[in-house]
Amino acid sequence: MIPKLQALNISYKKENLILSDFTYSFEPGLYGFISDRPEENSNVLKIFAGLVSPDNGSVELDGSNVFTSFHQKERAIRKQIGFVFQSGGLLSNLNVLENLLVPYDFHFPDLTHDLKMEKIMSYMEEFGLAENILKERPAKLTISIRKALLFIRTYLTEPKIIIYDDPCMNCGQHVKKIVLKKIMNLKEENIIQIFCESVNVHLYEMTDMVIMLKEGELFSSSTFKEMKNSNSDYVTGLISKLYAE
Amino acid sequence: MHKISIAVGSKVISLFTKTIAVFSFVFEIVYELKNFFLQRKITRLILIRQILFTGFEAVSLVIFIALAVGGIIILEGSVILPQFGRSNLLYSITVIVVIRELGGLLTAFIITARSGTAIAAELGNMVVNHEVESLVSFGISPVLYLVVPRVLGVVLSMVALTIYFNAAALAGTWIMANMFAPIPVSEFLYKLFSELAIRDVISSFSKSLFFGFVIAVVSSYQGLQVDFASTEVPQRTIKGVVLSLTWIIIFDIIITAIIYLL
Repeated sequence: MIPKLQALNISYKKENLILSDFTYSFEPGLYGFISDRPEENSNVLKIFAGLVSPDNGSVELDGSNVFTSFHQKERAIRKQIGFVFQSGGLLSNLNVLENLLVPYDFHFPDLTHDLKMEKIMSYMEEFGLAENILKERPAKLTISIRKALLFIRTYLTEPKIIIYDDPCMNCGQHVKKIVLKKIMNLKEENIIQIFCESVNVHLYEMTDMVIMLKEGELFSSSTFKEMKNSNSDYVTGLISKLYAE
Repeated sequence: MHKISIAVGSKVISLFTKTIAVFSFVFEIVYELKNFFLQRKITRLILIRQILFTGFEAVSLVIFIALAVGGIIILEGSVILPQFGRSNLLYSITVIVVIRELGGLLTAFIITARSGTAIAAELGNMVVNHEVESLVSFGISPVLYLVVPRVLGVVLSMVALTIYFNAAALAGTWIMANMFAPIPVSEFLYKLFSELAIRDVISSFSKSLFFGFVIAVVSSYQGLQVDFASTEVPQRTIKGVVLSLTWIIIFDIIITAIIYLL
């Protein structure tokens, strides 16, 4: 089944207006967000992931509202949405293996431990991570390895929607390369990938669609190439600011 | 006058909102208890670790304090009671002070200082490091995964440690009593148990259950109230300790009153 994520009339205000009557429909592909308030991008992504409740509006995955509690029915919705945090997010009192197993055991209780280990090891290998770190606590690892583990933990449960908050931030060169390759590969599958990025602007060049916000409102939605050639001073201004950073 | 009524009104609304939030939190814990057993594969580890930290690792401290308390009670009693010609009340007072009151109360204070602070600080730091948010992103309720195992772990540990405390305190009284006038263990226990009523045991058990629940719930609630700033962690931890101690005393009075009324 092809997933469909819909943001319907979302308004959210914290100190600033973050989203104002925002409506958008995401279908499989890679989407990038650019905003005149980049510091609020994390909140925008968290709304789509159902982690932050908006003041108004709803986010629906295949017609079901993602802002629900934790009852059995809603777990199925959450299982389909993966979120890669900018930093942090690994459970500090568990070792790496236990961290990777938490969502896996929760969503796939019937899968054997051996099968889970096989998949974990295959991702560890793909990201160039040594087996001996599985017994380590996250605090002992480098920031880049911790970030790589966030990606692995998200990919393990095979979500239909993956939301990345600054995917290249805190990544070493090797991890960054693997992540970009992985994002490109997932573009070929029926997966919705949404991100905002402040480190590697070239990630926007890989997108199917770039969504531009102005003061919380949807300003434009087009390919990155179209945006670069836009006549709008606002659009070109934001893009050149992005490259300058 | 208008300003005063606005200030009082907003205080009342804020208190009402906080009360509702605490009751919802307690309700969610009770609700998630059912899911805890269904999801034991991921929650069991947290429960075992909590029992290990709160129960097992505190045993030596609890026994040391209990031995000292038991010894002090018999020492004071042996000196004061004969002056009033009531040496016969020594065992009765020991049972009342240790089993009914101090066992549960002092164990609760020890657990608040060791585990209550640890729970509030740990959960607070987890909020700051987006760990709680990441659980929500998996669809795992933080109450189910973080709070319920801690509540169960603290309650079970509290009950076990209270039993240890009572046993060690009574051993302390025997050791000290033996120093004044040697008394066989069998005779000591006979005299002690003849003063022990079933309601003393019920009182001790119910207090340990309630105190454990209060410590875990208050500490967890305060820890999860941290809002993305690490400076809030110690503030919430202190608040957790103060509120735990306050509610322990309140429950102690209530349970003691109910036991006497029955």
